Amino acid sequence: MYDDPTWYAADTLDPSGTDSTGTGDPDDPGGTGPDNGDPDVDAVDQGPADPDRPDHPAGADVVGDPDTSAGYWHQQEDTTTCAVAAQEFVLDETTGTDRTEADLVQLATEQGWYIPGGGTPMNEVGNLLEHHGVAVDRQDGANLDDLRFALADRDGVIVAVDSDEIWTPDPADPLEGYPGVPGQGADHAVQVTGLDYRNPDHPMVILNDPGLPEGAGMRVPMDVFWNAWEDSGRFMVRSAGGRRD
Amino acid sequence: MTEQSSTRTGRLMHDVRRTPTFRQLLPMESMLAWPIPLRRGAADGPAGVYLRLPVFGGARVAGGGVDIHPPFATLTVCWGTGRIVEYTDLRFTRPWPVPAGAPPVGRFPGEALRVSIGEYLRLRERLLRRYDELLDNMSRGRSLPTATAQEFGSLLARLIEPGLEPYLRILGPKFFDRFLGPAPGGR
Repeated sequence: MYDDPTWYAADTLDPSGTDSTGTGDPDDPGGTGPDNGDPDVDAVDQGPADPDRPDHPAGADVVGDPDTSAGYWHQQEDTTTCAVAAQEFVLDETTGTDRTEADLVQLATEQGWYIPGGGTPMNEVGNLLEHHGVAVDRQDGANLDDLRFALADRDGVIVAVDSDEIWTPDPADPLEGYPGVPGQGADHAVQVTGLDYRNPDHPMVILNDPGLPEGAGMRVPMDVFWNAWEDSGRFMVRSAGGRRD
Repeated sequence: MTEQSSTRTGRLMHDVRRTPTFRQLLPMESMLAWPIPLRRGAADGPAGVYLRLPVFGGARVAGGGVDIHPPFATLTVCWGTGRIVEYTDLRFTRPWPVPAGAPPVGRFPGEALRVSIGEYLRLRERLLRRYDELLDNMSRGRSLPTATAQEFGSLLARLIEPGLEPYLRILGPKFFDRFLGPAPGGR
């Protein structure tokens, strides 16, 4: 679908220098990308944009702290608790506490934010964080800059994706071996923990995916992630306040 | 892996998941069963064609498959505009009893779908194209050509989620009787 390797640039960096979504980083109302003087972005060595690759901040390495975040991952305990588990990862890392998925499921069920055996409505993702005093910002139509700024600020990020696409089964694989019903759209919540630009030709998004046994620090090609994220209208929940050092 | 459907019905099913109604009321893990077309006559209001989308849940099975539970909601959308015209919580209206802790009613994929993921997606796209034809014909007050109707029924019979058929027949008896034949054992 996207043969052009710079396909996402037009969507992430508005050439007019304004934030095309109108909902950009609160610390960066201009939304002009890495060369905007945002001190937090500079602090992670973003550097000026490469004029030939506006999607790739020159000098950037890995944005975020995926190794630390991976320490808060565990596999979801029920097939419908991905959003609860993703919120738990962020909550534990942000507050330094160690809550259990079972306790959070009970709370979310009591509050009507989680339907046992069903899952979590997208608009309810973030409620568990707010309940524990962590402010969140929910955003539709977010872009890679929004992810990058949030990770550079050491905020927690949860997104909704189409699990079909990030789990990338081979189309030749037998259907009976696939743990889902293909073709359903955005059906899964994951934590984004990093963006890896070390290979500029193959940038990667790093996830804590509660749905897979090997989901801690799972690496997904950026174009694959984008397609999976697109199915949710690029829904993103950003926790405020930075992470606990 | 999953390309956006090239069909109008497929896009409608995709887009409805992004509506505020879906996001507020339905878990993102929910799945949409095959739609039930409806035609409202002009006798008591504007005529129109609609799609009723049954929403069901399931538990992913380690090693593959999904244990399916009966539909718990429906969304009805206007075929012409894609606008949601009705949301029904079946746990409230209770067209069938759903005792707490009820076991799953089937596992996806069923025996008729021992195919590759890619082949399933191709079959799914074919049925969605037939839905487009059916709905276009309904909008014009026409019936499907016989051969197309036979293919529609054959694809639907193969692709319908295992265990959901009795529940879907309650939600759309005429549609399923027409394309799948009368329910086994009658009603």
